[in-house]
Amino acid sequence: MRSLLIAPISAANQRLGALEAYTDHQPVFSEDDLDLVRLLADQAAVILESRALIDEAARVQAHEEAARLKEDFISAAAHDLKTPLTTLVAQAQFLERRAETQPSAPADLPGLQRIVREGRRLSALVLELLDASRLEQGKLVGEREPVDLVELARDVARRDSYEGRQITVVADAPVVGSYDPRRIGQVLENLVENAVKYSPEESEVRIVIAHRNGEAFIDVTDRGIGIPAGDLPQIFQRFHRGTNVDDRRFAGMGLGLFICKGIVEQHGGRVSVESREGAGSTFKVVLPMETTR
Amino acid sequence: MVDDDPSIVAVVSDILIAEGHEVVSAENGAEALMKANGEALVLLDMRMPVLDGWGFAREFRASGKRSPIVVMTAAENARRWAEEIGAEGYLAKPFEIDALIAAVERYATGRH
Repeated sequence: MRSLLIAPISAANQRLGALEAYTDHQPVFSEDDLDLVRLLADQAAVILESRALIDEAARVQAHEEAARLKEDFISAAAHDLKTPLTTLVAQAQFLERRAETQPSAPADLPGLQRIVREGRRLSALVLELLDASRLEQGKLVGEREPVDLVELARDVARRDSYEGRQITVVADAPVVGSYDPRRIGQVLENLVENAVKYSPEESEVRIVIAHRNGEAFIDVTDRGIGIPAGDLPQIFQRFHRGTNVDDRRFAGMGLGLFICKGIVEQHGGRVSVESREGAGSTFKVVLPMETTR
Repeated sequence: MVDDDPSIVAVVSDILIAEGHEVVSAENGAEALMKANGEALVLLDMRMPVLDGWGFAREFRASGKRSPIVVMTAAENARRWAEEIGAEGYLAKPFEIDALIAAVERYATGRH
């Protein structure tokens, strides 16, 4: 090597690097070459600096987006909590006033029942919100143990939260994997509750469980109102509810499926749905049977 | 009153009936438009299926009806929404029973 040219790459008084040019033959560098290398180093500084600025802008944007989502979440949650609270506050004050002005009037049973019902609704909403928040911190799924999904599904089917509807469980043999039984049970119960909620009284709700190639398959099928095609891509997103859902009849915050998806994914599985509006829906859960962790 | 939450409809009706008012209820804007018949006041929820509060207010005014409107909403921007639809007043949910009674006394026409 005969000669070497070095120009600093610096921006805003900060040394970012150096641009070097070598030559091993005659003629060696001229004054023009020095200017050229300086110019190139300055150009490099501009490019490097603008890239840093773009990265910074992206970071700020991602941060703002996260803050906005959190704010949306809190404001949607507050709205949904205020609805049962409105009945609770007004009804309780009304009963209080009645007790003061007409102490001998008979108990207002419908009013009292309304307080009990809305209190329960509020408490279910709070639990749902807590689950959604734990889910985001990755803290929703607890200890895993060997679980027979068929047995778990039969337990869930026997629970009395389905308006007296019969739930059919179809399976040939036990399907055992390592899961958090409480959380997988919660997924099944939520899917069955949805199936019951959105289908006619006499229609069948069916859980089919099978396994293939080391994976467990759970299908929950109803013959209900189905999901409009336009809603399918967002159905597992939080606060999304089907546009054909009459939310007067069907209370809910739109967090159930979001929580189900999170629980299944934290088990290394996946969820999907097949549905036609008016013809019913099948929610499909796939879980690995061997633990990978 | 127009609200899609049956419990709120029931308790507000009980309260206003006890105050000596008559109450006609509807669960969405479309049903309310059909039932509207010169009421002294409309208590209006904003987020409802089928036809929301904005849609109701637009069609209600377009049809020449003049009943005062009081917006009832659990959203944070109750006041702004009330201004948007040209409502006379608003009640932010959850409201005190006295605030409900006072709003009805204040805005309802044909009283005093």
